[in-house]
Amino acid sequence: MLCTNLKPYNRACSPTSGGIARLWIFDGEDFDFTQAAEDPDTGAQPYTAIALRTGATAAAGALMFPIKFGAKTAEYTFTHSRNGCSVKYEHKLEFLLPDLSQLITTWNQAVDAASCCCGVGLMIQLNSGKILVAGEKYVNSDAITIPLQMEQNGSTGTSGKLMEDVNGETVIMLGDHVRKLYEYTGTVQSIIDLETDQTTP
Amino acid sequence: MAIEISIKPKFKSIKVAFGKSAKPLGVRDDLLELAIIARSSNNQTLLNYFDKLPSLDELKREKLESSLSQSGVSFKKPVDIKQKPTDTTESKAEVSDSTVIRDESTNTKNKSKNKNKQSGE
Repeated sequence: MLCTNLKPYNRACSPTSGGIARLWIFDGEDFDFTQAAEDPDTGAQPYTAIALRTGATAAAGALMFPIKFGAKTAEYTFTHSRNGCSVKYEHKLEFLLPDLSQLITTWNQAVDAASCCCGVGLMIQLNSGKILVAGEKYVNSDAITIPLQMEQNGSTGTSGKLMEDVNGETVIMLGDHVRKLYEYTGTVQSIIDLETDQTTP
Repeated sequence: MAIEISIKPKFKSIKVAFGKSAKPLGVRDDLLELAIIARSSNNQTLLNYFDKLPSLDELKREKLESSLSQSGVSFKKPVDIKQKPTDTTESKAEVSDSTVIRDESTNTKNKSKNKNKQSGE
């Protein structure tokens, strides 16, 4: 209190699970995330809604694009570092895309172009049920002060030597930021509904 | 619903992800939730979707009343416990759906006094 305001970590005891259930990639310029005002006791609030920004239309490609990664191959990690009062979080998402093919090639071309020009957004659903957001650029209709720019960097691939060897690409997405990722509290279905431009219920 | 919440016609096909889905706004049955999100965050994009949008206090009150009515709870005027009992037999304390507790028996009153003594009150 006299120097700083700390918070308890008082998570209610309950089981959880590791691993990643689903991933989506999106253009951070297309979506506006909604966040309630910061609570003086609990701090920053999670995102509660995702809307298309003016000018972005689902029909023209403003969608949440699912990534069908190899089962049990995806992992999100972060590394914190500090230099005096400067803090950095290095965010890393790694996953396997099976089957080297034209599809993987063109997917990489799109991601490389995005990495160069504007970064990519990622929705990461953990097996715990939590959904983390990386690469968002607009919150409550305004551009956020410092966006996290996730970029493909260091991916590797292999055809394998034996029939039972892995054939595919290990994709690595990296980004440095001033904080950890925020949650989105809507359901998985609400993100799945943004995968297509279908408007009929 | 006592209050009125409506989406502008030109935005009824817009999809917004919140809560359980991202169906078009024109077919959502949970616009009260989006209204509260919009007012709490003051997100102009969301606020602009609404044609009619009450204040945050009115929305929260509506949500509370809706939750209570769904759980079968309603508030009635409490019965005056000082009324003389019409039946001398012991009667049980009743808890109705309206959560009004009627205690018309002196025996029941004495038992509750003893219970209070045991709990150290």
